[in-house]
Amino acid sequence: MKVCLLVEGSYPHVTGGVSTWVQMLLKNLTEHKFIIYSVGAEEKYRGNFKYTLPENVTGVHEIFLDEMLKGRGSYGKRYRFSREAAHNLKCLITGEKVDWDYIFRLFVENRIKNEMDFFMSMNFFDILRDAYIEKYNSIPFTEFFWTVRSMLVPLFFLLKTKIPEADLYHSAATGYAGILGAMAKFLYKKPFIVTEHGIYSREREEEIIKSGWAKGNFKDMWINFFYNICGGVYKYADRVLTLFEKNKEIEAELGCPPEKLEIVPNGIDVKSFDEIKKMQPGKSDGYINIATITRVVPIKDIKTMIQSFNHVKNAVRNARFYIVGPFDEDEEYYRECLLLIKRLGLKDMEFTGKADVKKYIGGLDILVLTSISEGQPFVILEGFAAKKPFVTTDVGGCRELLYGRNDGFGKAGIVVPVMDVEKISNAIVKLALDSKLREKMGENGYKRVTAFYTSKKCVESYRRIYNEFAVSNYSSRVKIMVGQRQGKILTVF
Amino acid sequence: MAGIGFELKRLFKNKGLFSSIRAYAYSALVSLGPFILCTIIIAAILIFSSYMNIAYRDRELFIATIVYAFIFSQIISSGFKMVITRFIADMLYKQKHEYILPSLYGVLSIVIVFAGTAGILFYYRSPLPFAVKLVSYLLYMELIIVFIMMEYLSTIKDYMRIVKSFISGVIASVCLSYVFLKFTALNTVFSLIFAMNIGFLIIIAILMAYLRSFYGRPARRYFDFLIYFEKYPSLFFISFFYTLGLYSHNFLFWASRFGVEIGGTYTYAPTYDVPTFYAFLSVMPSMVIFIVSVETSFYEKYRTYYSLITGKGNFSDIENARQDMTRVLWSEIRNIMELQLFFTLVFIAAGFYVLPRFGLSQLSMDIFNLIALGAYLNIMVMIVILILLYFENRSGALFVAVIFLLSNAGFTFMTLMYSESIYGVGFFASSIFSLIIALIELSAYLKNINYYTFCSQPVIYKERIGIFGKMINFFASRNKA
Repeated sequence: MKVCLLVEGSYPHVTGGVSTWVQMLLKNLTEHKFIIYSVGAEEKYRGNFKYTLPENVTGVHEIFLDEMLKGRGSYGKRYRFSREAAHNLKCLITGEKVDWDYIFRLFVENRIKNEMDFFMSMNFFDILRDAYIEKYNSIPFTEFFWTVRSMLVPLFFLLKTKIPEADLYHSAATGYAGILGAMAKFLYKKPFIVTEHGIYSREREEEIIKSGWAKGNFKDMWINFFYNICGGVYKYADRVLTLFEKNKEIEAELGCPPEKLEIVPNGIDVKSFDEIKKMQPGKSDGYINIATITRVVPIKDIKTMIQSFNHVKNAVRNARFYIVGPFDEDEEYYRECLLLIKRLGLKDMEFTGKADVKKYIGGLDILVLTSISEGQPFVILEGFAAKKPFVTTDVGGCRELLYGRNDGFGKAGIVVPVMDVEKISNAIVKLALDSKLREKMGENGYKRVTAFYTSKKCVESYRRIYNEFAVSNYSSRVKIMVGQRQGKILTVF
Repeated sequence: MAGIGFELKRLFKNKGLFSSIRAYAYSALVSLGPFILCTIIIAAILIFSSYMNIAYRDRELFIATIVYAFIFSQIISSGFKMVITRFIADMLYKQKHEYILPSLYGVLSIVIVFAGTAGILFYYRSPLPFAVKLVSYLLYMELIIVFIMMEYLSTIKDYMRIVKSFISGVIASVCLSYVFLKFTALNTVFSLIFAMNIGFLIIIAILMAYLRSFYGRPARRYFDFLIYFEKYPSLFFISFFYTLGLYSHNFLFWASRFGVEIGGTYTYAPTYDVPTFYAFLSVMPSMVIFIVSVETSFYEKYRTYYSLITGKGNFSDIENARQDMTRVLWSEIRNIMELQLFFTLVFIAAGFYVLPRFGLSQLSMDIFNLIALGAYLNIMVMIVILILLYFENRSGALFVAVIFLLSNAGFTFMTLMYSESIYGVGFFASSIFSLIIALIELSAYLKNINYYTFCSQPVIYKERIGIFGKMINFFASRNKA
């Protein structure tokens, strides 16, 4: 089967959880051919792959959002849009529920050949004006105009691109990659599934609320816009895969039909940690080695971690701290962290920079994660495979990983509230002073990861799901769907 | 990525919209200057030629020389003038005064090469004595310089100074021609044109000294204005086509059986040209009325509208301002049309009594009446073109200018094919046709001006750098090095 895998801001240009997951699928599902459709931010990364593409990848389509800056249009056009098309375009601006069929049709039927022409057309102005009068009448019109344009341009730029034909579309997120998958389904009448690693709309919402570029009333507009996109993806997807229970609940809450939802956790190759977990650190040099394995960026809240370490150091004199991971992504934040360490006078604290996790992990006693937001971190799975106990904040899938879902394996660490220095340091101290507890928790984690979170299990799940949607199994369903669609078309014209 | 929109808005805000608005109108106003000047000089020479025993043939040659110099210098400079007007307005708005004077030198050097080549080719085949050809050629070049300089002077708006310099020039010309004719044995036509050469030289010298003192020390950027030919190429063609259109009906008559050859050099059609000249004198009041109305009621509304857009106006404010502005604009246009109709009728009535005494035939009188009515409509076409330019609707303005050029040539050609009884109808019909088109264009544009103002802005702002821009950047960087 030919699978088109749609990714956004990750594989193959950027490393991280989603990219690791993609590489794992590609490597293991050798019976399928893959086309990668990758949406990136900047064109300078074209061809700059961080991964070796497995042989079953037949093509990589790279689309970069800054390519839209090259676009050019001419004004004065008036398209022949149906009333419904205009109405749904307006809903994209006002944030009301959009029926994406009408939006996709504009592109599929080649009505909008150049999205820049559309943004300079009379129809666009009329739609924008109606949306303004309906909902935003009190805000400055010029600002509104430019905001709406810049909000819609990337979306239209992407919808205009030609999506390759395949037997199955699989998006790695519900955002731009997701809506492209939805359009592919509309266009080719092929099954479409989506794997949501985080909750795309929620993440955008948090980002926009904090951002400086969107102001006041416009924040709501942007947020609703992304909810609209994600809502469309849930509607079109035949299956929505999620990593853990909590996200499944949120997705259902956001309007994803529960029958489409299924949990497929991440997985790792537990065996590759066999050698490492035999190492007995702590005892060798008299230190308690405490570490976090993460990039040094604000969302990981490294500052809270440093403050917690400072508390720990006061209680546990032989504690030693490592922050393992690259710190060149946000250098200012890194400098602030260094300054904080200096101000606190924290000793035995080291930034290792980008490093091989497997080299470090064996010598560690406790792993810590203080992130403000997470999906299902690979690093926890890796820590479990190396039998390490964890202290993590209560975000994303961390609680499920550490405490399990009544699986009888017991706790594999301690879950603490976000940004709570006292509770974080108390938890670390508790583990640092109790080697039995560390060992027990490490053992529990190891059992859990072996039972549920192996890459083999993860791959098997996707193999099963792909097969469900294999051509022969899907065709009977397609017929029904086409019929419904034709029914809709009849009511439109 | 979201930041793009906000960046664009800032650029939109900085646009020198208000600056260029009035510049076009003033430019049109001061263009009348050389026209009046030539008329006065011709009249003065004609008056004293009767005292000085100038031969009829010499007088004809002299007038033909001036008419040709005037018409062709105007046509050739027209396109450059409009672009340079925009350049000056933008430089004033950006407070880059030191860029203005160098652009005068730059544009003159280019126009002089163009016009000079055309002039040389024209006089090369002429059988006139070399000295006469030389001074005629100089007169034509001087007029081009004056036309271009008027654009720079229009920004200063010190009209008294312009008038004074003109008076000095006229007095010098008239006195010198008297001296040459009375006390020297020089060729008559040569003397008269040479006297005018000196008169115009004085005018140019006075005005140039004034410009230099006003704009102070110039930057050494002579050709920066060329970027405006890439930015606004349509401005060049709007002005060029309209001006060419203005004379296209005359050209067709020159080529017809009415064409009279003078000195083996100039062809013109006095039966048609003379009434045309008188008829066009009638529309001068319109220009003045238009300037006044732009200055007062309309400009206020216009500014309110655009400041709501660049400021924080909501849509209903903008829409109200648009309606307000549209209403005022139409009422101003109606006012001008009413007033000008009155002047035109007075002119026609006066012409009925006066012109036959100047020796106009009955055919010429009929032509005069039709052209006067046509000129009335035609000046409205020009006013609408200017208004379209105020709203940055250059494509609309260009469309109207092209329609006028083609219809005037086409209709006039048809009347020439048909019969004497309808001479002049071509211009009249073309003017009425162009005016209807122009008013439809203006009305459609004003109705959708909100759309045009916003959506004609490119989604992604990009400064277009053409070949001139690249050349200028190249030389500028070399100068620095």
